[in-house]
Amino acid sequence: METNTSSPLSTLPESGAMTATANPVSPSLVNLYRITKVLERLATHFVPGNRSDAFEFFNLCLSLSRGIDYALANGEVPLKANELPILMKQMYQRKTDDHSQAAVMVLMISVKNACEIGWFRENDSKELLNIADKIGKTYCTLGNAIAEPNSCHPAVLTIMQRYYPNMELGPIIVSIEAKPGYGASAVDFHITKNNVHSDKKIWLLVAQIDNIEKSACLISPQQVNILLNGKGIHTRTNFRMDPGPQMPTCVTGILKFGTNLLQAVGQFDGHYIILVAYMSVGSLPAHPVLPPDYVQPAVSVDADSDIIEGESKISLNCPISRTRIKTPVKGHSCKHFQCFDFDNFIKINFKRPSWRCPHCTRPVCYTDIRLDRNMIEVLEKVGENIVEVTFEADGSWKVGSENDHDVNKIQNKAYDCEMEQTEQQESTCPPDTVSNIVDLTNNDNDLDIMCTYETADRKPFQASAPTGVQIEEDFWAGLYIANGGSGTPTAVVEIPELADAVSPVFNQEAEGHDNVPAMHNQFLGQSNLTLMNYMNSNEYGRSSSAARLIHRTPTAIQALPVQSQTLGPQQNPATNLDSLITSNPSAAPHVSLSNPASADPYNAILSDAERQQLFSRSALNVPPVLAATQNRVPTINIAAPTHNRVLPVNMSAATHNRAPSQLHNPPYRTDMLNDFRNSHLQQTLNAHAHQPMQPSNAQRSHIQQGGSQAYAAGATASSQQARVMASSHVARQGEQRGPPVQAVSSTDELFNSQPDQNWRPTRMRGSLSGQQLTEDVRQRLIMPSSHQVQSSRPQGPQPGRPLDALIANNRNAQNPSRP
Amino acid sequence: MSGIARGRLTEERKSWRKNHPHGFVAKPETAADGSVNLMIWHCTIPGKAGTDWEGGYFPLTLHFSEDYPSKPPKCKFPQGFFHPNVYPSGTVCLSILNEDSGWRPAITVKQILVGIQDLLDQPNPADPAQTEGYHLFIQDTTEYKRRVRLQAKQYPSIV
Repeated sequence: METNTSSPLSTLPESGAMTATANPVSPSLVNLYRITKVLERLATHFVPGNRSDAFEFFNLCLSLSRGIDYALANGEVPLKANELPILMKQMYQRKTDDHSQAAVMVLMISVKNACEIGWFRENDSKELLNIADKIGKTYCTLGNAIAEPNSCHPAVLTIMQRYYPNMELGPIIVSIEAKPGYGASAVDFHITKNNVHSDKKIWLLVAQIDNIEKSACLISPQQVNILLNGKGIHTRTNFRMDPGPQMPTCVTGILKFGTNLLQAVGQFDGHYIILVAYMSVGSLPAHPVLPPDYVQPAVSVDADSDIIEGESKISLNCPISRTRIKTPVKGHSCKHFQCFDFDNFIKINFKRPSWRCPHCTRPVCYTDIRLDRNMIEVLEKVGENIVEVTFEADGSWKVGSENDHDVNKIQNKAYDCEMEQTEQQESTCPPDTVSNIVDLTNNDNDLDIMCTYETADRKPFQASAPTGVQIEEDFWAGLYIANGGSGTPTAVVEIPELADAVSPVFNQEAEGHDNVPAMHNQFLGQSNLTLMNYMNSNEYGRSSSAARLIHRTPTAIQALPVQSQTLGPQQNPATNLDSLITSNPSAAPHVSLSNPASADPYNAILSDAERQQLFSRSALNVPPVLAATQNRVPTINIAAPTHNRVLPVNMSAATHNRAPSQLHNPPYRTDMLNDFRNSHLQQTLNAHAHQPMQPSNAQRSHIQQGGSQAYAAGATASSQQARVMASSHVARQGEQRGPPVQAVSSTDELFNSQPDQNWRPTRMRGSLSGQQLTEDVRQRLIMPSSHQVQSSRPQGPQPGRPLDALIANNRNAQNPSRP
Repeated sequence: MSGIARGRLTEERKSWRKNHPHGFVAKPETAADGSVNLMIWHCTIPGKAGTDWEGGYFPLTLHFSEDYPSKPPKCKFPQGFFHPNVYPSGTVCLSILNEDSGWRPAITVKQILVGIQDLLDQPNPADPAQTEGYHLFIQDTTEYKRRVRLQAKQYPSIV
């Protein structure tokens, strides 16, 4: 929660003096000093005639933004605050290229909060907020920051009453209202130390407000990623999407004092409200106010199949716990005699808010629960040993059988009450076969996942299935080729190799890899169409087979992949790749070892790369980057696909400096991609190539970066071939740069010398990071096998068995000690 | 909270021990040290008499989650089990085992097992889960029946 105080100041000329004197003084003094210095330095960028260095400018913006955040969190006002408005106005007017604008946007968010806290005069504040709005709108839809409690959408209160009766809604910090269709919403909000309520935690609530009659409104939009401070919210991103209704997510742990950012990106299948609010969780009192009495719904004249006629046997045990009912209740619209226990029902729905009658599955939200007086009477009169009574249609009843736990008897019962000597599982069902895929998706501490995410099992591809199914499937297959791949089967087939070669390194330190939305990738005609087609089929309670088809929709090109079910390792590899690492055109360029003189500015940028990424749509306008990277184009000749197999470490030598060639949509492998009509598609393909190795988190070791980017560099190299023919000799030089070992050690140095290692970027990133990502990445290490399935698809359906075996092997290999 | 799942499974266990259909086995997993894991049950489903499945005693594992009985258990045959509605991983695809469609918390372990026994001889071609079993079922009945009988022989009774 603490704003990080370690500063990137070391990149500034003053850094030496700073660190020498910093130790004895308080962090906030250091911070104020930082703000002052950065402001001075920034001012020089606007001195007429002064050549403004884009990198320094960028870095200064981020540094200032952090300084402001810190000051805000501590309630301090820097002396030079009054200089900010003028500076910001200058920035807004003069720094209009994409790259700088991103930095300005980041800074603007901090300044905006400073406005709200009252750093500036009223006029200045107004103007600044105006500018902030304008800049913000170029990036995304803005949400609303609602300061006052309960002024939100009225549906929210109803939802709380119906489905979260154990939670009390406090002040709402911020909310986003999303409309159907594709949306990229972001809203920043500020948390100061003063307004933290000790008794209340901060929760994230997501609900569809089109129809709040059913608990299905609590299902997170299946093709939307929700992120806080760049971190995916567990079970609300496509890495871990819970297909069912969810409780609000406690997000206190991912927030920090100062500026926070809430993002929701993807395809919304309805109107949603996403809010961050203080809530207190009460456990209902042991004996809560009893629900209203149950009144038998009026029996219609028409013979409704649900209407019970004649006598019926009713269990006195709760269908949830199978123990005797204490407080007999049912839904107000339930027509059956059977009751369930109030406490049990509450308990399971506080855990998983399905709110459906356990007997008839009718929706029964909290306010729909009714107390069945009739059944209370029965329970009182009948001995504990009686578990069943028989009801007549008129409501009269008589004692049924004793001690029979099974109400719903099944005809097929020749009971065998002897001891169970016939149990043979131990020999016939070795544990190895028990769960082959699911384990991989499993958190160690998360048993639920096993059942939550059943996406591991997919319907077979029914190419030869009769009629309609076939058409549909073919349609998707076609789409896949058109979309997810590259139009060239070869390219599709190559991807596994890529993953293969890269995975060891990737696995090692996957945390650092980052997904960053590339805004300009978001709208690809076909993929969007695909999404639209499917956005309705994934709703809770819909046909599951329709939902399954989603696996194959190559929606991968989405900036933040909005595909709902990318968990299973068997899934569309294209999607996996894409969701793994979305194309990241603004990834920070790398420092060339061979050119230490130029290293500093790059290094400086690295630690702030995250901030930049979200907002830079393209670094195209940054000549220094291009200049620096183009003449260091990596050395591998990727035109020969076999190179993909080169060991990562080996390649790291050559790929240290990655050229951000994907930024300009270069002709990618012109030999095979002649049919590309759409530059976006190229980009997609590029994204494929680069995805598994996008370690945009800059504090990560460069070793990995080098290694994992090996392929990226390769792909890059080829994509740049046309462009940088002239620099090929440079590339050759690079080839001779030295043995891999040497490269690794150099990267070590690089890593160590990097400033601000401890700074953990907590905002402005468009994607997952940290533990969650690591796990997800781990899952994807089995990609190669899924690719086999993938590439064989055109020939005909070949689902799973070999694949399963592979996956099982993989699991065993990873976890040999597992029983 | 999690008490519900285990409490319910304890009751399921009691109920099963009192009576259960002939030929069926259902037993929570026992570790080497004798401790019982209620969340995983090892079961046996006998093939119905008079069908091609007769004579087979098919091992099935039920995986319960902490959200049980809100959520159904995951039911798995051995990997590669031959049946149109069994995924290659062995997971059974059956409406009553789908949280979104047929599952109700009121469904008992016994009902699940008997339901799966019924499914063995009455596959649902509208909802195939594996290619091989599905294709043979709709295209080559003779071969399908041969495979089913072969599989039944692979899983003889242990008694």
